[in-house]
Amino acid sequence: MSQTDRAALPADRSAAIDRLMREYGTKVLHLAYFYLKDRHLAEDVAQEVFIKAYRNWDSFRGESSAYTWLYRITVNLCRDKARSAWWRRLLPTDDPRAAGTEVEPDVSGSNPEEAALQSDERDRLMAHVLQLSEPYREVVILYYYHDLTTVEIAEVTGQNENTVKTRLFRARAMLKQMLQKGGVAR
Amino acid sequence: MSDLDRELRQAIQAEVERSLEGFTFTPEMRRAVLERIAAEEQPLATPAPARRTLLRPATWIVAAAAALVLAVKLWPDMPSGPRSGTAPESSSVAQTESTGGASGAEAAADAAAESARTKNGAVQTQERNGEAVALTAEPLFALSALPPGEPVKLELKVKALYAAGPEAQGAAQAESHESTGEPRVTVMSAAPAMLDLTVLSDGSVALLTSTSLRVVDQHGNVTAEEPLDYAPAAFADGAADGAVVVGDGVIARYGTGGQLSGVLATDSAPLQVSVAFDRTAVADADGVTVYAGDTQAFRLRGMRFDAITLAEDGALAGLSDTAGTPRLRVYDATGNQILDQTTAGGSALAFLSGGSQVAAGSEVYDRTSGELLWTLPFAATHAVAAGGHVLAWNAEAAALLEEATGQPVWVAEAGDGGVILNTVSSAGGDMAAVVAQSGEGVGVWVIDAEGAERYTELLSDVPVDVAIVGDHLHILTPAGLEVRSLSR
Repeated sequence: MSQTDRAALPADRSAAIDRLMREYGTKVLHLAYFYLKDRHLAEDVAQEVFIKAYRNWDSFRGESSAYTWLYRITVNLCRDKARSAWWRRLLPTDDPRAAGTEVEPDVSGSNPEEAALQSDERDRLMAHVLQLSEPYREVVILYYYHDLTTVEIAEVTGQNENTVKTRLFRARAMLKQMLQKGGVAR
Repeated sequence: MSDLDRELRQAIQAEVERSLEGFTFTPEMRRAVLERIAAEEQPLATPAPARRTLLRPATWIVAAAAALVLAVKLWPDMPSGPRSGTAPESSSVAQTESTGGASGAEAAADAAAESARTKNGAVQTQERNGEAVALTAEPLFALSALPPGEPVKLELKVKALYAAGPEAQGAAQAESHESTGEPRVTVMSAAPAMLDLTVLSDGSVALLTSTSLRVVDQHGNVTAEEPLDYAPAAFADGAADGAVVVGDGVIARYGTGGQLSGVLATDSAPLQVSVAFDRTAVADADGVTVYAGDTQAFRLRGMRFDAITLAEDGALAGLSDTAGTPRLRVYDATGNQILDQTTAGGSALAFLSGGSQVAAGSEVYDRTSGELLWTLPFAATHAVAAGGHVLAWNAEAAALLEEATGQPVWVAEAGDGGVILNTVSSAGGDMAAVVAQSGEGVGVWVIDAEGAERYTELLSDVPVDVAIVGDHLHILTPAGLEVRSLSR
């Protein structure tokens, strides 16, 4: 991940936001998806993130990296969304397929049966990640997918670093247990 | 990074990329954002005239009345001539007078400044003690003024719990019990002998009795019970997802729901059992056997360890000759020895920092190179990694130390010539419970990660075990399980 800091961004606020969208738009979108489990809502939130970033541009002094700043905005927006009563009623199922993720068979393997098995394992892993409760899902996605350090995760989520480490430890254990129960040897 | 970590990262990244393929921040989305930004910039270029708001007299009257009501409600209690009142009112008067007749706002500012000045954990503790036990002549913890950066020093005096009187028994939390509506004490009486307590990975608690394994939620309600057809002894130490029971000729694993998930038969009564996820290490008089699930991973013959522990990556550490010159040996997940060296006194043994370091007695080493990294302030008999901290203790003292540096956060010593019987940490390392006994009796102290007292109680009997789960202290007594709320 590139370490975009404020000094490296264009001086013009709109141009800087445009650059951030090009660089981090998809990561922000995916992060929102893992909170909300809904593609359409994730798209709305991702756009909202950059508008909020534009409005609060003066508060970004470059003390943190641009992506931790954007991720923090994303996490806060998603939490607000998830807290609202109407959203709770609409909360979709944890099943990634039902949440709009189209899981297609992996055809990269030469052996179709093997490919189907591998695809099945990966589907299960994603389903397990999505089954984790929010605090654990949050650290798993930020650590394993977004490659953030525990210090950065603490900054993004507003948690103590020790709390992040503990959650990561537990999430790892839960995933391992779920994978083993599902018959996937790890 | 462990193999599991690497595998998870690889698998998660690959799967996210695959399953969310095509789900990108599109140019259309980018354009939509830029258009909205441009629309917001527009008014800045040509500011719209300010909207005029016409306030009618009736509006002024309503606003003034509302402001008056608000001012009365927010106005601090001020002395206004002779006044009788309740204790809190008297207290408020005294505080205002002590600030030399300053206004409420100034008094509040002074209080805030004082609070900021007393950020040091030691002073906070004294204040909390003051709040909790208003009539205590002697603080529950004897504290000394310490320069910044020094650990908080505590003295655990059972005698002081007596001096505090019955009001001290959970008094610090009495108010919060009322506000949360939670019962102050939940008691589950039981006829079978109470044997052990352990916290499960999902935050519930497993309680081992002579006849069953019970899963209890944080409020003390039994959510599952599994009868045992063998004689249980205790829970195995270590980080398992569920509970691992060491019994007569058997080591049984249970899931977080209390269901039996695996059984290992042992020939003789094991001396030590340690678990880490699916691994189980069993030490007997002839050596150590390490199992991965139900399969034997390796066996070390001719080794007699006083303490063993497993790391999450399957590495094993063993400490022998703790009565003489202790010797630390570390083996990798396949049983190959990677470290063998003598250590300083103490029988504590624990993997730290995700398994890359090992605490043995009073010293912490890099597990591969054997380099001494830092030293504990005393020869510990027990140590456990707890959320970036290390909780170590022996009969005389307990301490919370920074895992990375060994810097003590707090050190508590048993006062009145007493001994520390047990010390446990919460899962996140934010709180520790210390059970100490002296000729005066037995008490439990809950101390947070800043060295401040969260809860104290004089106990009627030595507890079988204690555990902290969330904001609850679980005390397993010979009669049953008692749960205290630690909410503020």
